[in-house]
Formats: sequence, structure tokens, C-alpha cells
Amino acid sequence: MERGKEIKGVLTAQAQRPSRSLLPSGRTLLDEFLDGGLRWGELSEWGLPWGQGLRDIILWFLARSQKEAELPCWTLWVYSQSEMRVNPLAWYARGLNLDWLRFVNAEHPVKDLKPLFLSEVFRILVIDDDGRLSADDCAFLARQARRHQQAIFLLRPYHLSERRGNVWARTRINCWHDFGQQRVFAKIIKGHRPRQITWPFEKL
Amino acid sequence: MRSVLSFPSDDRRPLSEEVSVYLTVISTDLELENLHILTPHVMLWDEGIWLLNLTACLSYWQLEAQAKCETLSQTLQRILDHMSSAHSYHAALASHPWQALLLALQLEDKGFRGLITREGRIGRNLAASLSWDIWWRCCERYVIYDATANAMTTFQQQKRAMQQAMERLTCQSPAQLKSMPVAQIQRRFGGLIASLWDMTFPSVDDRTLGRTAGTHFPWQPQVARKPLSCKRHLDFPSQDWHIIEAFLREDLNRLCVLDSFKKGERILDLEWRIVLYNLQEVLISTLFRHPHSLHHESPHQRTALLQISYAFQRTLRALPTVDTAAPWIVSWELRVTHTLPASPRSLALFGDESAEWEQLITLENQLDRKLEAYRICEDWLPEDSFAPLESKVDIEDLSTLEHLGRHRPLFLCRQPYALPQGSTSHLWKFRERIMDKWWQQGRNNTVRDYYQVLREDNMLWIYRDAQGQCHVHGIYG
Repeated sequence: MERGKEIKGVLTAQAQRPSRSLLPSGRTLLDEFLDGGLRWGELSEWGLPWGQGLRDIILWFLARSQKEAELPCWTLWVYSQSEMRVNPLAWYARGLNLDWLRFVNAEHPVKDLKPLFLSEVFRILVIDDDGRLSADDCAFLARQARRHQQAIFLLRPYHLSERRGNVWARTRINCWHDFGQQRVFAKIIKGHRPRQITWPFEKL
Repeated sequence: MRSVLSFPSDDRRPLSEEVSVYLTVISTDLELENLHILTPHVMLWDEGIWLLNLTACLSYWQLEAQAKCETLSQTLQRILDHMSSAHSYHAALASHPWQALLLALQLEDKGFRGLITREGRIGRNLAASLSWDIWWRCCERYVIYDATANAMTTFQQQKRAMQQAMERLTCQSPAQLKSMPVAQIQRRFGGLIASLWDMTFPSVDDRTLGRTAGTHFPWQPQVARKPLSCKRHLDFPSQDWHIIEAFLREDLNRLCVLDSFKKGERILDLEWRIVLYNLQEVLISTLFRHPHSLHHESPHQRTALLQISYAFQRTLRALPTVDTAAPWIVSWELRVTHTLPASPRSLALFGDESAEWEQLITLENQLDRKLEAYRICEDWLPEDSFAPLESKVDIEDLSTLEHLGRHRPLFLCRQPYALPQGSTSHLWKFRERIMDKWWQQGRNNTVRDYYQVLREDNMLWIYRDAQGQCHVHGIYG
């Protein structure tokens, strides 16, 4: 009886979620680059060196997902830098609804936050890794993303190697900021036709 | 601009992670059983005057408010309206019980019914018009609870002295002297009056004020019933968590079948008092972020066992006298200390379409750390521009702040640090100039000039203070 109620609750919740196959960023250039957006139910890996202002790119996807749906989806950002804290005003100013956004600090996200990844509450998860996530962790995340139809972003603080891949991430993208030219570059390594785009940094 | 041109009062400083919220309710038709729906921490201040400490359940009520697209104060008002005949109560919400009390009494005095918050415009105006009658009435009641010897005699002496002084000064209300330092009040009228004055017109920020509520305020909770408990003596000492966990699961399920533990009742904390092989007793307190239903998770009790294991590990790490290996446990007592009764069906908390909210509550109860949630505060200082979401009681106008935040970094240093010497930094781009809160204790700087700076391939957010020193305050992620 209790199990039946639980299933009904889950099905009700899932039925109320808008059925979308792609998660767009809301920026035409980037969405065309990604053939419409990122796919739900998949793990995407991003090479975003820390301290270059590149995480604003990820915020585009989050802000867009909150605006699109009647009921915003729960979003979680896991960060591992213990000496830092989030600056909520900056997130709010970049278009995010803080009521539906949660943050958590964890050095070992998969180990420390296991119940979180087993739950389907958060539709979008961003794991701002500092290089500690292993291949097994990625396998687990990819499985959970597929199971719960979540969009999981794995942010690495370094450029992704094109030779050494990650079989669990369906999409792999490197981004970097050329301070000389004041431009941001993004290059697809996996998941779409390999190509590169650029835009002025002030567009961030 | 409003926040820049006027000196904000201490009340408007944002709260820290430890958020305290107290509710005072003045009503003749509400009983303890009604009020326990909101929190197990209730005190009967005077006849018909109840003090509620909502701190333990604040996250839960905030989620409830968000689920209903309400503010916290609207949710609490809805619940109070349901429990009492509509609007036959006077209620006030504040971060300190004393301030909540004064405000509620003023509401009653003015004949206003319903709920107001200390932070809101009406609350601030009422606080500014506090009368001596109400203040003295509250002080006399406070002294009754004061356990100090001869407190009433001392108070009466100090009260007479202060009343005479106020008559000579023709001071019509306490607010006219609100800027008088507490040290001067203490020197002229005594320590007891000074501590009451400090609670009324705090010289510290809300964060410290909320913390001192626990230590200085004579809280005397009403106990609804004896705590539920069960004991176990192991046949053999054990240090294997799998064995201990199995027995704990049994004990949690035993608690569920106790007659006095109603189905639908939710627990807020557990005490697990273990006895080790060397007869040392260790108390392990397990707190739940939201009220948790043991009945709902019977028989697996996954959430409760997770939290107990986290608390167990934390306690072991903190205990210097326990051996580094897991201790041998011989017996224990498991006790449910605080519960929240089942809400009436008619209140329809969370509503029928509540699966995701319930899942979030369960998830937050299963984690060993809090999920951070924030609200924006109307403050120009970066570190004061946000507060925990639990502290949000009313709708706020944030229209002035969006542009301010646009050029600020996504991440702040927990503590600004001096810019290291050595490597060069360039591409200094001026972003904003703000005034520092030089009037607050411990702050000497007057102005901060913020720059976006490139240093070793990192975009930092640095400010230069009035002395020309540079400090790293944030990083553009």
C-alpha cells in the first residue's frame, strides 16, 4: 500500500514535468553549436579552467531551464572549493531563481552525497569537480542521469584531453578564455560534429 | 540608493547560517496542543501569551511556504487562522523572543489582529512607538522567570530609579533613548535593566542577537509529554555497525508501535545514549533538518539510520577518550526528544501534488550536510547581500540589486585575504566603489574600490581599501 502510494507520487511528479528532449542555453550561437541543446538523461563533461569566468556558460542553461517551464525544475550545484562560497547576488543577477537552486560543498561528491544522486528530486545537477571524480563515479552519474532523465554537468577545472576520453559522458566540450583577444572559445570533443565557436567575452 | 543614503538599523543586517525565529501569539482560544503543530518548543509566557521557537522547524515551514507560493509569514498566518477563530489572535514574528513579545503586546494594545513581522514596515513602526507601560509590564514578567536571587527586589529598585530619571527627562517612550549605549544604562540603572534594554535595542547584529536568545532568555518550555524511549542490552559487546544498525532498526520500529506515538507524528531529534565496554556513557544527538516520520519509513528506517550513523561518526571523531578503533557498545537507550504532531487534514500541508516537496524533505533528512539555499538582502556589501533562505519572512523588493550583481563574481572568498606579492597582475578593470560599514564594531575601513583583475590566468575580484591595501574578495568562476 505504501509502496503503491510512493509509485503514484513518483509518477505524478514525472507526469507533471514538461517533456523536453533538449536543454537549450538560450543563446542562439551556443544552441546551434550543440544542435539545439544538451540532451536530458545524459552526462556532459566540460573543461572549464577555474577562474576564467567560464561557469557563466553553464548558468545560461540553468536560467533557461527555469524560465521555460511553468514549474521550474530543482537545480543543484555541487562545489568542492572549501575556501570559497557562492555569491548569491551574482547568480540572481545572471537570471537564476534562487528559490529553486540549492548549493552544497563536498570534496567527494559521489561518496559524500550518495542519497542525493539516488534521488530524482534535482532535475539538473552541476558538479564543479576539482579533479577527484573517478571513472567509476562518472559511470554511476551517467547511470543515474539516464534513469532519472536528469541533465548532469561535470565541470573539470582543466582542459579535457582529446586522446584520453570519458566513455560515460555523451558530450564533451572544452572552453577557454583568451584574455589577449578578450574572446571565449568552445570546442566540441565528443557528442557532436567536432567544431569550434567563439564569442566576445563581454557577451558572458 | 535608500540603503546607501540612510544608515540602516542593526535589525536589517542579514542573518548568518544560524537563523532564529520566534513567534509570539496572544490568544485566549489556543492551547498547547494547537501550537505544537508549529513547533515542539513552546513556552507559556503569561496567561494567553505563548512564545514559540520556530528555529528547529524553520526549514520545513519555509519549504511549505514555497510549495504554496507564499511567504513564511503568510503560511504561519494561514495556519494560525485555521487554529483560532479567524483573526482573534495577535501574533508577532522576530529573531529574538523578547522582541517578538514586545511587538505582540503592542499589537494587542493597538487592537490590531493577525500576524506581523519585526522586519516589516508595520513592525518597525510599532517597535519605534513602544510605550513605557508595555515595556515595564514585559520586564516584570521577565523578572519572574529570572532565577537570580532577589531579582524582583533588585528590579523594583532599578525600575524606580529609571522611572524617575525618565520623568525628569520627559522621555515619552523608550525609543527616544534607543541610541544610548548599554554600558551607560548599566552604570546609571543597574545590570538587570541594562540586559533588558540590550534585548530591546540591541547593540549587536541579528546573528548574535538570535544566538544570545538561547543563553540569556529564560526559556521554560512546556513539555507535552514524556519523551518516547526504548532500551537495549546487547548479549555481547559489539563494534560492528551492521549488527548495531540491525538492532537500531528494531528499536526504531518498536518506538513506532508505542501507544503514545501517534501515526503521522514526526520526530525532530533523537538521543542515542550508548554505554561502552568501559562503562563510559556517550550521548549522541541526532537532529533532523525537517520533521521526519518514522512510521512512514517503517520497517527499513533508512533515513533515521543514516542520520544516526552520521551523528555517531561525528561524535567518535570529537571524543578524545575513545580509542581510535570503533568502540565496543554494550547497551543503549534510544529516545525521541521532540516531535511534531500530525497536522490536521484540513490544513492540507504541501497539498496533493506534493511528491517532489516530500522527496526534497526526505532527501535533506538523509544527507549529512545542509543544502545551502539563499535569499537576497537589500544591502550593498557583498558579504551582507545574502542570507539563508530560512530567514525570509516577507516578500522583498530586489529591483535595485540586479544591476549591482551583474559584474560581481559567482564565488566569494569566505574571508578576504591580502593580495599576495610576487607575480604580476594586470587588466585591472574598475567595477564599483562602495562604502564600508565603518560604524560597526571591528570595521575600520571606510571605502572599497572593486576591480576585476587578471592574475596568473585567474580573474579575481579585488578591492582596494582606504589605506591602499588590496584584498582578494572573490573569483570569477
